[in-house]
Amino acid sequence: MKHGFFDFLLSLYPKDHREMFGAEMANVLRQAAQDRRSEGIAAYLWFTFFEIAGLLAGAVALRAATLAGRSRIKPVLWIPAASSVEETERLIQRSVDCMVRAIATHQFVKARFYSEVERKLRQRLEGLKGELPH
Amino acid sequence: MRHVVERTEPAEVKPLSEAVFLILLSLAEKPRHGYALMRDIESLSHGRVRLSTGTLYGALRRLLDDEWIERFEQEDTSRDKQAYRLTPAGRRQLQGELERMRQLTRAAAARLRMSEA
Repeated sequence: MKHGFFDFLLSLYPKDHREMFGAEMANVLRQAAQDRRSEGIAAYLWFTFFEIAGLLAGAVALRAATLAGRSRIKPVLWIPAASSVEETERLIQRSVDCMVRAIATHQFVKARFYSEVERKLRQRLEGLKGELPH
Repeated sequence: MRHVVERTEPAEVKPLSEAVFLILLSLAEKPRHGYALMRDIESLSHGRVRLSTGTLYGALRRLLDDEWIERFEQEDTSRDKQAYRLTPAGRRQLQGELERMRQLTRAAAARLRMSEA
């Protein structure tokens, strides 16, 4: 599937969905397309049709859910366990970098997500520092 | 007049669609990112269920909204890969669905035995 056409299909999704999942969806689609291409032209054509139908149906369902107020993205997260102060500080820096990148590209839902990650990591850092011997 | 008697289930028990059931089942083993989930679901269902990207991410979003799964950051941020893992609430839903299936299977087996006898 051509990038331009995928971008068009993705543009049919609500903005918050594009910000949080757009890059991932493009990545998954790229990997799946590579696999199907190796299975022959018939498999690839079927895959393309199947994906277009899936993306269109997904966009319509999500638009309907968003209009009905039934769908929202929450900053749900799980942060990998970092047992040391250094590791937590490194994760904080990474979250800040991701947040800055998201703001620079006007992806504000994503920026809020990383802001929440950073807040939780700072809480953890305080706890870790409190456990250190004085 | 309605002829269907509706039984009220406990609020947290929801019947799962096959796609949702397979996503939860796949994540019950270990955290996975989108494409790994897609492949594992195909393998779990012996090729019968193949999720499109649109369907997969629609379902993942709903599962995140319900807090049955969580996103987590992977060490490698250079690629657009985001892993997902099951939450305790998601695991409870999966166990509830398995129990429902067990009951249904037992009832079906009993019916078949009765009709064959």
